[in-house]
Amino acid sequence: MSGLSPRDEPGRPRRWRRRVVAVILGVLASLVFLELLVRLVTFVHGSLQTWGNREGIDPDAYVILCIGESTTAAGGEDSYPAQLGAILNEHGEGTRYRVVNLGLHGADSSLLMARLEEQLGLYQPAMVVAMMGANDVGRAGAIPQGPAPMAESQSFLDNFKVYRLAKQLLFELEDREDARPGPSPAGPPPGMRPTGGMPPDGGMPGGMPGGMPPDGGMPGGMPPDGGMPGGMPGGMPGGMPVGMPPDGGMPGMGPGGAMAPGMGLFDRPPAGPVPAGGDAAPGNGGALPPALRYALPVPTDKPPQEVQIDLGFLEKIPESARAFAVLAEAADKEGLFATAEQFARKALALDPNLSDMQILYGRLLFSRGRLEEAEQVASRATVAPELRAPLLNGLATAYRGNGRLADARRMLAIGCDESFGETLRSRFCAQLLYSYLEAGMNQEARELALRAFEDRAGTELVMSAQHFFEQSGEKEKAAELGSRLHESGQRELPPATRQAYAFLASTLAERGVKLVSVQYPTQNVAPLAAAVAPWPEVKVVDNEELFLEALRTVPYDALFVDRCYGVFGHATRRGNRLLAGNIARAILGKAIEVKPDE
Amino acid sequence: MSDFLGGLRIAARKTVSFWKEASWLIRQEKAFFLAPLLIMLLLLAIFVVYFGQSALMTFIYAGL
Repeated sequence: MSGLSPRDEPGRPRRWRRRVVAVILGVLASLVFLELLVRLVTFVHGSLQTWGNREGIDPDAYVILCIGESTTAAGGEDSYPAQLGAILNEHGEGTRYRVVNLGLHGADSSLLMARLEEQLGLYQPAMVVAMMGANDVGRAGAIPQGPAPMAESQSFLDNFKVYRLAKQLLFELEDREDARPGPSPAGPPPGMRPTGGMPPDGGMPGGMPGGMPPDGGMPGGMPPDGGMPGGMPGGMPGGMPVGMPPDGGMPGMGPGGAMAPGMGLFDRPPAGPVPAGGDAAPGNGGALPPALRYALPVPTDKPPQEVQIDLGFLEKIPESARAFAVLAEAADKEGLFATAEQFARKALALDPNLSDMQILYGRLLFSRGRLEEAEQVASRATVAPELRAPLLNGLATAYRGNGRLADARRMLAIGCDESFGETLRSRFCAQLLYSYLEAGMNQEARELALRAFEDRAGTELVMSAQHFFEQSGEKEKAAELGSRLHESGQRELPPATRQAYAFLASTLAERGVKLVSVQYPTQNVAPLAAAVAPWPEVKVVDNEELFLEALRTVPYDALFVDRCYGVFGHATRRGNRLLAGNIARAILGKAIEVKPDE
Repeated sequence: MSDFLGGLRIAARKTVSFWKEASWLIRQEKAFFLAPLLIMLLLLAIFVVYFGQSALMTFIYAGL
């Protein structure tokens, strides 16, 4: 042992200190290595994709960008963008067309819009063809305004790819766990959204190897939802900044005007930017099911640091409930939650029927961990049910965050039985169904699922019930609900899709780029046409009758490789040719004969 | 079947041997900073085996 220096003699604490330092350095080096690796992989992948897309673009070509999710991306040479390019160049009378496929597997419209600015700058297109929204079901997020605001919404840690990788891995592991067969149905099949999403293997024939993450969502795709996470009542700041949605609803709000983002059943939290107060909140971790994870901020142990202000001036103002309400709202906006709570309490003492104060007070209570008090406020609240819903939802989330699952179910059950509108009640019921399944309460889950057959069951309950019956082997019931979903899907676009189209149309109009918005095969074009109605120059492509007509003569399998979107799926080469031909007619503005490619 | 089991045994023996050697190297050379790196590589290997091809997509999406 003569080689050891005196410092290295056994028992010397310095030796251990050095080892610890070395290990810490090693950990840091590992993280740096992993960070570089992730960035390198992404860079190489992105460069190859961009290189492939830009190859052959000449300055005189008429560049068309095709954006969408896997229905656009998948298929390679069989994809509709590839065939669209061929058809246009065949019938374009001398104009050289270059069609770039910017489809992104599993992307929802928010993510596609987040990438828009960059892609427009990169390719300088003359036209954009958009077919998107299939992955928006269950999401009601507002649309990010390009990369910059999105970046602002990210937490500091989200700047590190290794952090996002870790989150992504955790989600994938969760999905793997969920995917394990069990004695009871356990929610939707992994990798599928209720009426959309990717096939379970994450990919499709001819698509990207390995496919997308099983969640069907995209990291980095979560938009800053603007308003209160989980849909706090109307009037909250944020929401959709590009104008009101065409339905006239509140910006950033879901259909029905009250519940907002985060309520999406089975919606997987992405590894990207975290909505404020969402996953970053302590206690809001892996224990929460996807449907609730982003619903509302979970109570924090540490109250926020507040500025001490002298409230002596209050003695000089009249005892007015409205005045205190205004003060409470102002304090809340400034983040002075304790002060806001005092003002709200005072306002309610003066006038217990102030609905906005009931909501604010309840939210302040549960966000500070005082759940029972918040529940009392919720039960006493005389406000309209649509305004009470966020409180119930928030309480359910908070109870879950504290591991009090029975209490969480109780809140959801109240919401499910409330006299809310169809949409709100349906969302509560859907989450309750999920909670029952999670707790192994199959009988209760089944009873609830049967309510999906009622007249005004609501889309989300129907979706969850459909999957329940699918998983429990009751195929007939699942099929019946599936057809009902199809009918309801014909009536309206998801709010996020409407907002995305509005954002896309306004952005492109500013830049003088033409837009062709394409409805999915077999789907009614009216909702899409309504979404882009304020921009009359936008061309809308109707694929409903064309495909329904085709399906009368050829089997479904001839046009689609799966049914992952219920009544349609990822198209075959033949289906994509049909689609491309129809889009080409709209672009060229004339009837062209497109030979079916057998 | 026996070939497969034999191969598995050899692979297991080699893996154990590798980790023994690695830990010996770390102690001998006092290169303790290598330990986390090796563990990370091991985790990465497990991850790739477990997730298969979609491991690459996970990296890509994490970096987007």
